[in-house]
Amino acid sequence: MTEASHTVTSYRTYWISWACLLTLTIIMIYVPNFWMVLTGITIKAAVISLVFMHLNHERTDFMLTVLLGIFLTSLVLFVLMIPDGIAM
Amino acid sequence: MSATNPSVVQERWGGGNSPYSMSWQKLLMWWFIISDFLIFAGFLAAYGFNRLAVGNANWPDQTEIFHMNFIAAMTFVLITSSATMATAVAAAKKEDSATAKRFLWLTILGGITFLGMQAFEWKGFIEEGARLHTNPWGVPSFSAFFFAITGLHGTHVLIGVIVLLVVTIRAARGRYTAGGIELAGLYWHFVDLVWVFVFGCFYLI
Repeated sequence: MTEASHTVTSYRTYWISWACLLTLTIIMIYVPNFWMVLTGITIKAAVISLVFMHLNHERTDFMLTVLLGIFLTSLVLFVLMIPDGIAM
Repeated sequence: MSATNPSVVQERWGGGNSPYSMSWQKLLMWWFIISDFLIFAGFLAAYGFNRLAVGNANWPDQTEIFHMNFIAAMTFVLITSSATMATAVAAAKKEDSATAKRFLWLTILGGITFLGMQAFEWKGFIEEGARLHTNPWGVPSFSAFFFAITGLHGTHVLIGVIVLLVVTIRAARGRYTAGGIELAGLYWHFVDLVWVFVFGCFYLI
């Protein structure tokens, strides 16, 4: 077993995160504003990846590899498509 | 800067027997998650492109098509199953096998409930005339994206339930490791993570 996987988060932390995720979901549904939804998605994704998936317990270089890898590639996908989609 | 020191670079990025100080199984699971996430990102980017190309005026209003309370309930089930999974992983690491098994079963129950709800949603859609190539509310691509994206996600949930069943049965027989449950947990949280994006991009925006 590695050093990182020995770290145990308390049950309480998970259920507080669960409550945060539910609250955000309710806000996103009943305040259907574009920026509100986008903010909600970002915060929920951060809570799931950092707390539930224990990314905050991993080494910083690994965390950056995962988050930047996903974020930058997705950004390229979306940003490159927007002008073409609008122009069609 | 210390980052340019060759020994630091070697230690952090050189790999060796344990790259990033984690087991190879966990590292491979993370690489799988990243690549699979990008498949979903590709689908959602294609959806966004199509929606922009069609124009908002021609795109069906989701709030008139979907029962948002039902979708909220689906989201509640999946988020709760993620929390039960995280609890199971923590219990396994504490060597509390009874709690780990109990929460693994609850996670499976959540996964099956989600799949049942998705099947119900699909049934309603199909009964109203939606197909991969037909959409009773306007542009056909709306239905195509709905079935493709939620179908791909649902397939992931189904695979997750099967993996969890295997892990839980092994745990019931006393043949489990905390590392194995953690890997299953990573996959399950990934399924929840993807739903956050599908739910936000497809159902809400």
